[in-house]
Amino acid sequence: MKEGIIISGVGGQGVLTLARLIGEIALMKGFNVRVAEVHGLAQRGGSLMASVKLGRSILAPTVGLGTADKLLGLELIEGIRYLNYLKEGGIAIINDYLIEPPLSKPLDRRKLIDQLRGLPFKIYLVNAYSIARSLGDVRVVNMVMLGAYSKLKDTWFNWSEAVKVLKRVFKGKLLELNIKAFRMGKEAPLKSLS
Amino acid sequence: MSDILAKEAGKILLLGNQAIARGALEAGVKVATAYPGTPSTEIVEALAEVAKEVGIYVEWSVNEKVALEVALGASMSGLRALTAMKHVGLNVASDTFMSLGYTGVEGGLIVVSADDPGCHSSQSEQDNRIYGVHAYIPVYEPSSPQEAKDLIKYLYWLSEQHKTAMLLRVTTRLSHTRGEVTLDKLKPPPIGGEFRREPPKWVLLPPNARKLKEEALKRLERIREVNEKSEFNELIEGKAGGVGVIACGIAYPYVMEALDYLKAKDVSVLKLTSIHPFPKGLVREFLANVNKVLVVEEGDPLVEGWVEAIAPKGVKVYGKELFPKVGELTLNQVIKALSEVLGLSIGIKVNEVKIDIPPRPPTFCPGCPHRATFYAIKIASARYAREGVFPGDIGCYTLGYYPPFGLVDTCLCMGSSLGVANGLAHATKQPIIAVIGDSTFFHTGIQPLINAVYNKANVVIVILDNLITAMTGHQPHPGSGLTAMGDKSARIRIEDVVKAIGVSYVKVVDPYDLKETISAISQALRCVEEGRGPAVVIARRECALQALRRLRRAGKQPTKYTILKENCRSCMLCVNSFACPAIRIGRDGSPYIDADLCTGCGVCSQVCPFNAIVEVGSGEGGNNN
Repeated sequence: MKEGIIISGVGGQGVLTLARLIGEIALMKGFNVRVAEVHGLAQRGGSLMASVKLGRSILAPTVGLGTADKLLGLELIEGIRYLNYLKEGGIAIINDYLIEPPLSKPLDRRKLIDQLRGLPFKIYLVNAYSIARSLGDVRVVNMVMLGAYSKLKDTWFNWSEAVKVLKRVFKGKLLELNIKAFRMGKEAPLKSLS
Repeated sequence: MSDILAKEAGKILLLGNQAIARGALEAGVKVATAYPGTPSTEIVEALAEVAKEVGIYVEWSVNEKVALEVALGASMSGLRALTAMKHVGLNVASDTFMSLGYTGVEGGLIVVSADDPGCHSSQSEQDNRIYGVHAYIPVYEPSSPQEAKDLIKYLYWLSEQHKTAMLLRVTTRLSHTRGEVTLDKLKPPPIGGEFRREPPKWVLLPPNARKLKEEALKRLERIREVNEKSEFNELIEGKAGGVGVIACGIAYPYVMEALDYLKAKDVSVLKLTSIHPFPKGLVREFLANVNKVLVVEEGDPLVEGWVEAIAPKGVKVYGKELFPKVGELTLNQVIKALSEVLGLSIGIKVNEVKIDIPPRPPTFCPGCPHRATFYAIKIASARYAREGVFPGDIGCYTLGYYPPFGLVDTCLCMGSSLGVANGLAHATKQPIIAVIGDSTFFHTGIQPLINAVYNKANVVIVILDNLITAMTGHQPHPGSGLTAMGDKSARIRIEDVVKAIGVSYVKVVDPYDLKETISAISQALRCVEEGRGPAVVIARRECALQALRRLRRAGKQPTKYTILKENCRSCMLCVNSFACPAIRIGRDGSPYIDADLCTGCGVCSQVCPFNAIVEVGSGEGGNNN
């Protein structure tokens, strides 16, 4: 088994944390892991992409264009931006929430979503933003996305494995909040666009 | 407990930079220094976090040259030392680095250069392996976090065996990639060292220097012999007389995954970790068994040139002609190049998605004091009679380049805004407003300011003081009053430095107070017009991310602002001229403030000409998306 995952979003949304958590779960399962991050200037509210690769062989640090198995988009525009990393038939889960870049022309969310139909990928939308908001903290969008990712058919980790890692990374109230977000992501419906 | 102090025998996930730090701790490093710079920062940051616990000394030095000299001082005293910097940092440290090639070391000394091909967060892509060649200092490139850790330990040993500094060259994808690392025992550092006088070794007077150069060259030949047999260079034997690949450092995992993808089983691979001095014998042997060889390296064709020089007739050498000349190495590039050399026609199909989406360049964070300062500069210079020139510098505030500000006319390297401003002042009568950050001012801004006073460069200088080195992840500096190890320290106030240099117009303002800031910059412009410059305005306000983090840690939420529908005339000034990400456009086309993003700086309420933006209680605020 080998999997390449792209995680994208707006700088500050928790892209790097999510990538690292997936990496930690994979390590616990005994895989070789590469989590590629971008730091510095690129983090300042800009478009942000990280990748996770897991497998048994020697792994290149990054996932190449057209080779990713999965894509987790924490925001609609940033989900769309990196779709070209997916291989044909690859699966994208995108948070159905639009954050317009400052000074950009107004965008029509529905038109964007319509254009996602008919692409050679399996694309799902999930209401991660509304779920995170209902929990009182939009910073847990990334955990909702982790939950949504964990319910895919060919998932390689289970509930308790993920929680074990969450417990190592978060403490106290923050842990509770993150686990709740993870659970709600797992229970949230995935709206298929294909 | 910090990850990098985890017990041995475990396998943990470490960032390449953390693995380097762990390797140094396993080698008993005693002193570590750096000036923060992407992608190198986390190496010394990780060591700073555990310094007290382990009993080592770690500092954020004011710049890379000082950092290298501090590490060298420790080495002179027999201690193991490490200094880490981004590629362009070594330019700053290069004066010392070149001399270091002559003097050599006492205690093991490793210089880590983290290069940034692709310019993720840098002004250039330079390949610093060439520095090692230039300075007669050996160069090594690891291929994974695990190897980086193991290599560091080995290099300390080798450094002391041959009394030379070592250059560990890594790139972004090693530094900023997490991978599994199996740990070894930590080695307790020594209590302290002792400097033994040896003037002919450390004093580069001409007679000494000539002798030391000869020794340095002999030393390199001895290390070349070691490199010929190094266990870090691995050979995978394929079919005799077939295709070979020489993969340098981080190129190795790309090559292995590419071979896997292409299902190419007969290819011979030489993983090259010891780059300089180049192990000619080893490579010659490798070349004797192939008829074609592809050299894969990230950066310039350095090893490729050396391979070409020794390749026997009939062995075709492939390299950079199969790769783009700009940008970082990618898996797809390696697959394409290998496929070509192997005569296969296997490529990766990339499905481009043709949906029109706007770009999202990095931007000032909500509440960033720099946005307020740039807004003030824009207003002050618009009110001034003549259009200004705006030399800029390196830091978050380089983002002042982008709309709606467009207030960065030049930016080359650390401290260059003030140096260039000096030159402009003597070349043109246009008003000049140079911008520099606090940490950059301490790094290389003080000398050009002295130059400006001495040589009468009549310019306005705005120092953006957010009390921290923000861009690289909030490291303290001499103006923060805190050391790398968390100790309280003397806070060096920028205004004291500026006044001591002899600047007569010095104003400290709070950029959150727009009126005050605009007035100070306007006054500075007048001061310069009257020939009384240089004039300095210090815009001081804590980095908004830091302030927010502190507030949240205390269990509090920031005050929020909201836009009153009844007062707002949708003039869009706040959206188009101030461009805070927290101010968004609602479905009705009028602006609203996203309470999730607002940090309560309140500057937008001063920008609004109709008093439509007002404070609300914490946790309230509008969100009608």
